[in-house]
Amino acid sequence: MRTLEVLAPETLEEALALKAHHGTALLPLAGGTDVIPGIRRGAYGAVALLDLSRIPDLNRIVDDGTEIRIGALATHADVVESAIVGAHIPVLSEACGTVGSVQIRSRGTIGGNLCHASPASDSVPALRVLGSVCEIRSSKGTREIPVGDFCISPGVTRVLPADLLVGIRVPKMRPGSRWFYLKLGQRRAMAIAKVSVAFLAAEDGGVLSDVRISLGAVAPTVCGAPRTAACLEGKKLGETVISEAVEMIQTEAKPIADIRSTEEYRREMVGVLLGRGLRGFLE
Amino acid sequence: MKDFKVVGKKVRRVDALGKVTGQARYAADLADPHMLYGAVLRASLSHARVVSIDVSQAVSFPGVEAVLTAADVPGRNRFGTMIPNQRVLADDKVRFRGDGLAVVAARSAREAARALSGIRVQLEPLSAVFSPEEAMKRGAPGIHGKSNIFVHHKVRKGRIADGFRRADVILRRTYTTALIEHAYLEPEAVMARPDGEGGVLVEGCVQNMYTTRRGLSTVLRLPLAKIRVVQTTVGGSFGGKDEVMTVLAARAAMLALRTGRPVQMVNSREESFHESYKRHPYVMEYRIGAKKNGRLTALEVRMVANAGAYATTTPFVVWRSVVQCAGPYVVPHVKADAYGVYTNTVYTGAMRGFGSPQGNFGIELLMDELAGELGMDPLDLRILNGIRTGSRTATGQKLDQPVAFIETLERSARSINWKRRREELDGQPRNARRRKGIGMAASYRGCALGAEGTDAAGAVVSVQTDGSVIVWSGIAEVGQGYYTVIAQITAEVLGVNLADVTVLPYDTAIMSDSGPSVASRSTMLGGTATRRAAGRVRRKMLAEARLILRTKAKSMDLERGWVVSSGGQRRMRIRDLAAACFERGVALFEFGWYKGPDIHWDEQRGRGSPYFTYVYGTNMAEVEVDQETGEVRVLQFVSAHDVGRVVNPQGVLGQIYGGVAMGLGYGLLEEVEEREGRLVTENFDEYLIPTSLDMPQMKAVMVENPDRHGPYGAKSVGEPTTEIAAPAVVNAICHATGQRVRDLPANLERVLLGKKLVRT
Repeated sequence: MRTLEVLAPETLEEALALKAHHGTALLPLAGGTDVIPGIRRGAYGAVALLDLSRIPDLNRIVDDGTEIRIGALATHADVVESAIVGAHIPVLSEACGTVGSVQIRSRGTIGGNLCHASPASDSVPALRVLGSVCEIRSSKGTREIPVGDFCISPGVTRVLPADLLVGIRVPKMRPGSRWFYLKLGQRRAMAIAKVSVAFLAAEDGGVLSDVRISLGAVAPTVCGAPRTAACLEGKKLGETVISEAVEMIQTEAKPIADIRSTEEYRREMVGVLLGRGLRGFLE
Repeated sequence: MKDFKVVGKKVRRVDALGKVTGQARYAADLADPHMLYGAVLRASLSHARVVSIDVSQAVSFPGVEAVLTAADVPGRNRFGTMIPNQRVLADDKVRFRGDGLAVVAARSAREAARALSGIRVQLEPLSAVFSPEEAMKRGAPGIHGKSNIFVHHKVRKGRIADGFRRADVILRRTYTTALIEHAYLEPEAVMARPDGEGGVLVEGCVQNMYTTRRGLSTVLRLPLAKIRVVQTTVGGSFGGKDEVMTVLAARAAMLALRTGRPVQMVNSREESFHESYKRHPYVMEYRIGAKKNGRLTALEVRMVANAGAYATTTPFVVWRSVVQCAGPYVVPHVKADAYGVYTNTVYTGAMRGFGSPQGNFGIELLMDELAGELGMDPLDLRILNGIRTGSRTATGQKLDQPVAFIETLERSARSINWKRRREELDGQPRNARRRKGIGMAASYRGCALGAEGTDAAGAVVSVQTDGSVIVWSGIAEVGQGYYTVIAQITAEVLGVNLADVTVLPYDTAIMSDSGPSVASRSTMLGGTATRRAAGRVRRKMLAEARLILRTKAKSMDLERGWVVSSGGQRRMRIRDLAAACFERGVALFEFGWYKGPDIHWDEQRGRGSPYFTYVYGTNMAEVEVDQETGEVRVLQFVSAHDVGRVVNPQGVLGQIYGGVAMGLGYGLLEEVEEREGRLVTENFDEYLIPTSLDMPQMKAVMVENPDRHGPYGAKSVGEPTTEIAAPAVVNAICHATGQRVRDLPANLERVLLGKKLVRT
């Protein structure tokens, strides 16, 4: 039996004060789907937990006009079920719907998913193509970091010892945007991605612009494919353009090999998923 | 035929309520106010000489009551069935990373874990071997003795050269299977209590109580009578809670006897992955010959099993593989050799199927490849060569019991509409992104232990004075539904309701050694023993009833709680009869014993009749393969099995559905990965088993083919249901893609790229 110290502040200010005082010795606990197994594994050393669940409104999803603000403690299920998310940033609903299982989606949070900084995260590729910004608070004030710069390496983010990630601001997608999130896993539930691709672009008369692509599970962090995105910029979608993009992304991606898959397979699949998503727009 | 009242009827498992309400007591739930917690220090190297283990610091850690090493083993630090070379704690050498070096008992689990860091171990690294290929080489480092090849079994039939001379087509193929984990829900756990008289009581999720007790007796230097093993509810076993439980029980018992206090030991999931034995990975090389018309002429097989660090049941596992190597087919000339080889990896042993899933994977893929070569439908090839009543097997045994193999083939084919479906699917465009395929696999399987050893079991049936009944069996409930089966048999014989029968936990103090709960033998052996015990009680009850009712009528019966006359009139309630028997001094307490028929095996010649009867089965699968990603969806699955007689249809369905799930995991997903003897997959986040969403529509076909040996004709169903799902689904994948996959598991990478990619 293991005993753990758990601090459960009731206000954000209190939580920030505790974090300012204890720093890394205090590990924020949101849904616990990564933190609890990590503690059992001994991955965090001697830490106390900062339970964020009693802080009001930290899980709210709000329409701010041009943006959707998602509280860090919103669960994947909250995101999937949110009408606001569904209407304005559906690529995020799609991605969050592929996380784990009903149980995991009901516990795991969007903020926790970001802070875990897994390259195989499902929410991060979607947040990244959406141009989302992380809201980080400390007792000294608020900072903002784009999702694309938030993760440094697996498990390591730009959150400092006195910081808490409190929310994510997500610009609304323009009407008529083209998007997809495609993921490959070894089984149909409880599957961590072997490869995933998130895509978002504006489209006018079949011509793509502002193309954004994020790749999950191919590098130490979720990454982009800027050359491929640029190659699609201003193009009218057709079989030739798609084939070129597929070929390009297979050269551009520098997949890693790990327990979940191989470099060769991932390289191939990045192209397959991109091609599949793009061809879907033609149907 | 008599109309059964309970046997063959759908009934709820007798142990369902406790499990679904959380009331069932598992070993980790046990507690005692004085208990200590045990922890194990495991090896950090795969192969090393143990130079020294210094526990002097650790003993003075807070809360610590004892720290023991191999030097503290009171008896002989060796156990095992045929080749006893397993250690409770490493003495001379470390042979794999799961080996224990020392154990601690402390007042809390945390203190026990902390004390492990105070143990100083000096190991001298030895060169290690991780694959049988390396281990079999001349000059390879010996793990137990000089040679790492410690098992060789063979089968010889006819003259192999003649067989190949007669062949029009000869095919050579190599297939491999993966190292897999049982993945039972409950990791290993025990509680050991000193009995105050020098003996010990062990409670835990032990699968084979008498085997574990024998191991403890050797290790603790105690007579068997001084060791009592009682089973707690078992959260799944699948063959997996044998040696690993003996190790755990022995360590806990040593600590309990040393400290005089109860000691609980519970493995975490990671510890379970690292320490518990797995299914043997095989490399199987085949050469098969056939006439143009499809008749098989010859089969040559060489199988190599990676046994890991210890012998355990490998001799028997490998033996079953070689005996059943030809599958359910008549082959006039057979030459088969199978080897078990030590390596410095996690040891392998019994797992549901016990050497058959590997061999069936090989022969069933081979049959499909041969059918392709001959331009034949795989079903036709199997029907043509399939065994029938009176056929001779690869070991030369004449099958004199009714053989229902062809029936399983034909009923499966009807169910899935094989011929038409296969033709329809052949018409799909070759390059379609998603392509469907249909595949099959079949098997025959020897029931029970066969020539592995004496096959006998006992049971006690005791009618209480109110007519309720207690049953004890020498065979364990490990999730297979056995207690429900023997409760049904008892209720059938005694004419009482199923609810009146209680099966009490398996306890070495009560029952004579009935062998292990393995080999799909529970119903055949234990069921027959129970039927005999209940039959004895029944005869006593009827004899007393005649005296009480002053009748000489021979045809009285016990039915639905009543003593009834031949005309069906109710004469007396069974509960009143039970009370009367007590008053008249007649004990309704009887023991039943059943020993299976004799069998014969000639190890020198590789021939004989290794099992007294067999079961037969066919699986068919339809899959859809994404040809761009290698994703496989199993769309439908038919599993047909000859079970002899169905005792509990719900139980048979459970075995079939569970067996298919396990077999599909073997086929598509599962692999314990090791790198240089270090386990990479150590929990279910990386070791993937199928989820409910991965399971297809399943259709179970129960073929009844009563056998004279089993109770009411019942045979086996536990293992056959899991041994042919993998080849069926892989054959279906190959039908869909036109590409052969010859290695397990058929995961995305392998299906797409046709090979296992090297990971860097």
